[in-house]
Amino acid sequence: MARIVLTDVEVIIGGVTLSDHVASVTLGSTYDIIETTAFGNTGQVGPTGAVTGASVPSAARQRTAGLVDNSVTFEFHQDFAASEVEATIYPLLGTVVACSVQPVAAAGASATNPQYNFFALASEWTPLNGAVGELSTASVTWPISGPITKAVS
Amino acid sequence: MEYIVISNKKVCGKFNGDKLTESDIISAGGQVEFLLASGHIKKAGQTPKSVKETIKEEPQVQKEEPKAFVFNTYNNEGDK
Repeated sequence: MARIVLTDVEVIIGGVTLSDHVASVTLGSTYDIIETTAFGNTGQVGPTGAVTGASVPSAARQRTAGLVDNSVTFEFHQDFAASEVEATIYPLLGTVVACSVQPVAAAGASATNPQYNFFALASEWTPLNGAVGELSTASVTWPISGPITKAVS
Repeated sequence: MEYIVISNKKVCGKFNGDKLTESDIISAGGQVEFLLASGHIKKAGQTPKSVKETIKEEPQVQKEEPKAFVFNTYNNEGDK
């Protein structure tokens, strides 16, 4: 498989394509780890949960995945002009908004260019951020409400 | 209801001047109220207010005509 250098990631927030004002995007998922160790049940456990191996040299904890916690981080280049970043994001604060990210901007999704769709809670915003001489940016991490769906066609 | 993209940004896959229906917006994950409020779209057929509407008519002030100069004993020294 070819490695990919990100140059044209598509970022859509609330139906508005803001890619040209986004410098970084991080989409992540973390599962809660639930311990399931019980007395006498410390052998190797396969994907089905069944003990597959012989007894192990020492007792080991067993775990399974719980709820998944998804989040997305965007780094915006702030822009106060009409229909730009501030005008788009500010009315969305405190609401759940449909978002979509795709490695390469394209008309459709494919197996080699999947589109990730999710609903993020716009829970934070920094309208003004930066020191003298710096680019005004806004970095936000929004929790995702529900699952991330991956479209490949 | 139809809407027209007035944004510099691509909105629900459409560009400035393109028409969108409410179902287009919803299927693209957008919200009509939000897109209207943030200035990305406007209702189709909505025209800017006419000049006649925006210019208020100034109230007509009745101008008093200057009184004719009256030559009387108070302003006429020679008449003393």
